[in-house]
Amino acid sequence: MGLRSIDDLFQDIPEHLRVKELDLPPPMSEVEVIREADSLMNASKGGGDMLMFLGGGFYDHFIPTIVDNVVSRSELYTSYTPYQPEMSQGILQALFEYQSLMADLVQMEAVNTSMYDLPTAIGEAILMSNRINHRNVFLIPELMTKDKECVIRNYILGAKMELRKVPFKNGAMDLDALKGMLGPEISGVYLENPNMLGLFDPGATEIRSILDPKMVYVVGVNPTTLGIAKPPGAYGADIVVGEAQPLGIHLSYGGPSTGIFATTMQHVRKMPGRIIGASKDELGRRAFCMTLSTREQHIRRDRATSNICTNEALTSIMAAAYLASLGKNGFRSLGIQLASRGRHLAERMDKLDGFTAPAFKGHFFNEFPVKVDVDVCSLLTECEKRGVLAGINVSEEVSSMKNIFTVATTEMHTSKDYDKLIEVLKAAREVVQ
Amino acid sequence: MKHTYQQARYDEPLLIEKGRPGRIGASLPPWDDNRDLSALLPAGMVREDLKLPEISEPEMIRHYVRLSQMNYGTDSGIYPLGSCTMKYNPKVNDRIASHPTLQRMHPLQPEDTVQGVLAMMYELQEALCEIGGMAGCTLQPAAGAAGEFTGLLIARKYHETRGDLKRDEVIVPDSAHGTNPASAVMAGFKIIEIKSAPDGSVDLNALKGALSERTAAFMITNPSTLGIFEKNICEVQQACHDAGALLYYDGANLNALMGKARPGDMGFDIMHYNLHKTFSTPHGGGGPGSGPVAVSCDLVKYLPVPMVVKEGKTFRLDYDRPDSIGKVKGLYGNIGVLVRAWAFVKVLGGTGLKRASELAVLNASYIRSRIESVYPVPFTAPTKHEFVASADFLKEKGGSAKDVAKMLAERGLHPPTNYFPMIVSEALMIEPTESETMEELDLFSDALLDIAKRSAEEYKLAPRTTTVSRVDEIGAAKNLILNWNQFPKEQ
Ligand SMILES: Cc1ncc(COP(=O)(O)O)c(C=O)c1O
Repeated sequence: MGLRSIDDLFQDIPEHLRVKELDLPPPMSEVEVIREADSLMNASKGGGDMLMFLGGGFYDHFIPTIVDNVVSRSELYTSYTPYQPEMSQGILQALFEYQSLMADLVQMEAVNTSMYDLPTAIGEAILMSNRINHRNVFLIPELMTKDKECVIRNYILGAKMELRKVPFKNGAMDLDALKGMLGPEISGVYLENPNMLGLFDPGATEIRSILDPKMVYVVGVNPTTLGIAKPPGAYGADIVVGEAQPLGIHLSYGGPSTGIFATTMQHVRKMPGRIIGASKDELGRRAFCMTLSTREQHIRRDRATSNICTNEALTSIMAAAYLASLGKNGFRSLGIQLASRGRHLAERMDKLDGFTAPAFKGHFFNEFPVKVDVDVCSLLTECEKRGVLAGINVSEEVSSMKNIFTVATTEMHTSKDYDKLIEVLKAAREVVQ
Repeated sequence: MKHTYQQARYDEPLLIEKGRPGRIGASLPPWDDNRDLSALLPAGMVREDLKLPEISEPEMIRHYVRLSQMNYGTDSGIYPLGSCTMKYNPKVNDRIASHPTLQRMHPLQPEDTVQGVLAMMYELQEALCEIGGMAGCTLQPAAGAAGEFTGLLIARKYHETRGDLKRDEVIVPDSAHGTNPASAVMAGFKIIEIKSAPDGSVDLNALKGALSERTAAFMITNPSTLGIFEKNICEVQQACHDAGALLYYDGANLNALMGKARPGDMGFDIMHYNLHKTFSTPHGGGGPGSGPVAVSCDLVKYLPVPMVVKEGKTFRLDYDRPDSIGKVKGLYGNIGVLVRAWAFVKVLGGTGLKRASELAVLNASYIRSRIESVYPVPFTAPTKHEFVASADFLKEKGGSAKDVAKMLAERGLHPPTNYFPMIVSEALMIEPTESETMEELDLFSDALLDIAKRSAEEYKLAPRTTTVSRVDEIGAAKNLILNWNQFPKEQ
């Protein structure tokens, strides 16, 4: 190549811009980096190291061993977005299967391969709703975490849309209030089912009939509930979003996981994200490829339906492997068990002096709101001192809710774990009192 | 040229076509207080039918092993997809990300129980700032495009805070990646596209013509999408700042510059990094990725909440940042990806990162030197980590860049990016990365040279050795089949 040294390759960088050396530690051997990582991790704790009842959309479910085996196949996880379908049939079929499993689960027709997470999926759903009906105001529930609301507000900035909040009554969306808020400027409404408190919203199945036909009904789900609960497609949702983490994706301190995004064939061309379609090769054999790319940024640029490019494909495959592994019977049994465990635990907590569980009347899955007659913040701190993370303080999210926390359970808990929680809650309340 | 590649081909049924009623691949822990469904759900909320596969564990693992054998990753061979930096994904990174404590760490745990992870995040932020020459960094965005969106929200807030309310335009070169304009629109800007100069660099006159009191930011990569170091970077910087605009660095091409030059020193105000490119985290067949954003001093206060901060020996999530743009993703970012990038930086250190960029540039320059006489590179400037060659000469005999791609696939080599950037006819954008050996680079170059000699008839047949032959992509878009219920019924 006629070069004398590596530096010859960098002569085009102006002298004054060249750096001599980065101020970073020297290289480490593999042993050393593992040792350092292990010592940092050992200074932290996870669900295996302490008893926790935290939820809020993220749950410490059991993940069948096979799920990790599937995504450890390095032909899959070291591949890029499948731009060359002929040599990428494996990842394409796996993602097509994810789309199909999810379509069946939420009962919609068109599912993309993933959004970054649930909050960004809600943001994208609101933008899509605006593309569908060109209306500018979108309704969200007052019962929504600040974390989500903050993301959504940024997503709709460019479209110059406005958010209005539908109040809640008795722990569910207030349908009378909703009716009063509807009008020709309303693009759609977002309902979370179960909601932020873990309660199923009894109004979910009515909302479609309240909205005018042009309005877009967006439903957010915890997918694990859909083993036993009616899917949003069966009660008129136009777009379904969700957080796929409970489906076999590691908690990993909140990411990565998959934002579920599904819609009807009627609206599929307005959908964001990558979509895999089935087709044939030249010999007429079944083959898969990415499709409807003309919606996407690499073709449509500033007129694309979204900027998303890299997404969360691999965690979608984890969700697919999880669903297939539990299968029809396992997933339904899991749903029954989780909802039953929720009931069981709530009943036990309700018997405790000073605790009301659930804090609002209603049905719930594996998470429910609890009201306590002492300062909830101090109560949770006292529990933590006793080695138990008893729940999430939701009073911080909605100001009208005083001293309410949510408790989540999964199949990872044993009866002894419940005994311990009860004992600790009792002791903690006494101290705080 | 002899080649014997053959990708696996199974007539592998879909998951739903496998199994038998009653089979199951997982078991649940015992629980003896199950309630009646009707008591568990509101009236009318009970699901009637649930369609899911019923397959055993061995059936399932065979299914996915077969699928994986019908796929190609960086662990299969060279993957010189330009702009995507498909380097080797070190296995130690996966080991660290699979630590059982991390896997079961809930995002809402108290800060004192997650100190180790916060420490890693903090160290990664600091390292990224040093590599980019920037003052502050957020790890929240989930991918490069999300990073662009974040950066542009910061630009927007910066101008707004200064009362400079007219700035509603973002300038991008015609060679920009599609996410640049798409992200800018999501952040509320209009796009002004400027033509590149004939030598592939930013056309200074076009830029000056486009800059105005309405310009919020100018977005570029450096090296450019053509793999060329922006020779006018100082003038570009001057022109943008004179006009009151911010300069945005798309970090997709950072693999050319680590330890050699820093965007911050070039005057960039905002940049994103693609950890799934430059920092060796696997691309997962489409994701997850991570797109941290770093900014210069004046812009640190606008970064998303929460920031990971260090106070004495403890780490904290700081939400008390009144000027912040808010959030762009739930929680804190794709932690599993961040931890892998942390390990990459640790193992390579400052000297290793520099060496990685040097080898990336050397490897790209080597392939260029091997094929340039046949596949013209329309720009004379030296190559950095990637370059764009043209397969235009094949048109004469009825060939195209796409044919070259399919011919490479036939030989078990992943093709380069084609038809991007759009400013080069029949573009082949080649980025070998630092991971490839001389033997692999020669194999790839020899294949390209040989393909150029083949006839159009041969082109049309390729690829025959891959799992399937050419896929009817037009048909897929015309007759949409997006899930397994939509296949036409067999007669
Ligand atoms: C130049 C350039 N900019 C931006 C992006 C977008 O990054 P991501 O796919 O991580 O969103 C890419 C890669 O796809 C790219 O190559």
